[in-house]
Amino acid sequence: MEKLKFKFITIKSKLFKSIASVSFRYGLIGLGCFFGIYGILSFPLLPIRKQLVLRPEFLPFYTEIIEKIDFLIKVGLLQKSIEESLFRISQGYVIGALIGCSLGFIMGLYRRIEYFLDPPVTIIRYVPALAWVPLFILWFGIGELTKVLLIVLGVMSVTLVGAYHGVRDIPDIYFKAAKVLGANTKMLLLKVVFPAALPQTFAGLRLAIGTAWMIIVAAEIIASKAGLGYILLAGRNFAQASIIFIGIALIGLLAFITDRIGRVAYMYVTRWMKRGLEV
Amino acid sequence: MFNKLSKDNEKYFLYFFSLSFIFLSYTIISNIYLCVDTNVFPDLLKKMLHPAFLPPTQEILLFLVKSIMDGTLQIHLFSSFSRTFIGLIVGTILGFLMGFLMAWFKKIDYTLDPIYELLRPIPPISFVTLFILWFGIGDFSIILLIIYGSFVVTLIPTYHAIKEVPDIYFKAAKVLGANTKMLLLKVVFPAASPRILAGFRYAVMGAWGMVVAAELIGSTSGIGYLISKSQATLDTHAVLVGIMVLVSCAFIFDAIVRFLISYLTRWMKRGRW
Repeated sequence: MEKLKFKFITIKSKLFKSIASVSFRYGLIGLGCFFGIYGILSFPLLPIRKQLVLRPEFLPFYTEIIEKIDFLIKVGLLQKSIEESLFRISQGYVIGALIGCSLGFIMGLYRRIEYFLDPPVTIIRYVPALAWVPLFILWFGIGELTKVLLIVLGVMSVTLVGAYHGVRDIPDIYFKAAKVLGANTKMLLLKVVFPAALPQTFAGLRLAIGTAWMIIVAAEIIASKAGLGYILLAGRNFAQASIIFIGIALIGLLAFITDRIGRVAYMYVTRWMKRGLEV
Repeated sequence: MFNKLSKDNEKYFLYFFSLSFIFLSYTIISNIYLCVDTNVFPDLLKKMLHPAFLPPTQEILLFLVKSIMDGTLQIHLFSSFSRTFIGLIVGTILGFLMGFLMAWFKKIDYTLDPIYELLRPIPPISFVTLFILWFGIGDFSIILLIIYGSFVVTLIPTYHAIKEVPDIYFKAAKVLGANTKMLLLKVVFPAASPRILAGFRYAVMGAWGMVVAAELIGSTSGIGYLISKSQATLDTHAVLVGIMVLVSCAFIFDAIVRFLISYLTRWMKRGRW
């Protein structure tokens, strides 16, 4: 009980400190300006509102956006879209990351395999992920398989680069030092290569989260019946910017949550690094 | 000298071997339907060997030559190029400036950080429908999208690269009596340059990918439009030609950027396993 109380007090004092801090005040000013200017521009009673971009369909006021959220929840599109997009992403991400990391490590370590696999991997990597969409639609139809495969390809190419450069950018001196100190191949791999390659590999994995979201959104805009990208498309088709805003905000929120998870993993893995300025 | 040459020979031999392996196997597989009666095979295999699924190599090459002779390919390529270049240049310059200002000046960082954190996780491509709704289908929406995309992609690495310059560099430079200008030019930018340049590489690739995506979704010219039009008419060979053109352009861009990176960071000593 005593302990809990103490914990509560520390949390409270931490909260108070963060509210009183300079960064919080400046951040509040920034956010206030951002939302304030938008609010003024989209205010329903503004006289110039009937012109061009300032029309209420294009710049909806906050109340309109809230109404649209209510509408989308009632229709059930919101819940269904989140569920479908998350399912697709998690499937594609896991498969793509596994293939990409292992290929990247192997290519970083063995020269001959690198040279042999380099051309096909390069070709696949240089195809802008979304250029596959029409081809995959022709091959596999408009279905789950197309979207999951797109994510697999995109995630694979990003994680591969991270893992490969992680291994390749290890300073020569680490190998020399390890060899001088009598490390065999197994030790070199476990104690030098993997720890030294981890930061870049995880940076690649974290980057791949963003890539996966980008691909799923674009793929769903181009071909789907539900999903977050579909909400964006629906907003454009009904000429309702409020629906697009909801879609963008949802994508941002979900991408933010997944990115936070990636960031925590990255920080945990690289906790041995001594950083100069705090991140 | 001799050692280096033989290693390079091995490399190019393996590149060539792998490429020709892929090319030959694709040509053989895609031409099976000409030589063998595909009705004998099971349904799935039959479908896969159909020329609308795997168009034969000669058909792809013929279409490539034809569209170059027409001039259609060049027109589409030019419109994609010009959009990418304008967007990329404006976006990266803005992104670098912003990233540097945010990393260096605490107050700017504090003020803009919430907005940037708000916008950062949103994939830039999701603004495409909004821009199309606002500014119509055309060059302006696409260029705006690319400016925004490359801005975000360069801002993050610049910011983190400058923030993550090891403390000991600052301390050493200050102990040796560096003023702010020297600290920036001699310590911070060189130390941060590998990551900033790596970010620029992502920005180039991202811009090229985004131009394609935007053209697939809403445009009347460009390589992405060529691909989506060919998909609608079931011309798989034209889709493959479009993808080939995209790959070669991306490869050329990336080769230039990679050369730039390795030239600018030639002071780094990279090891080899």
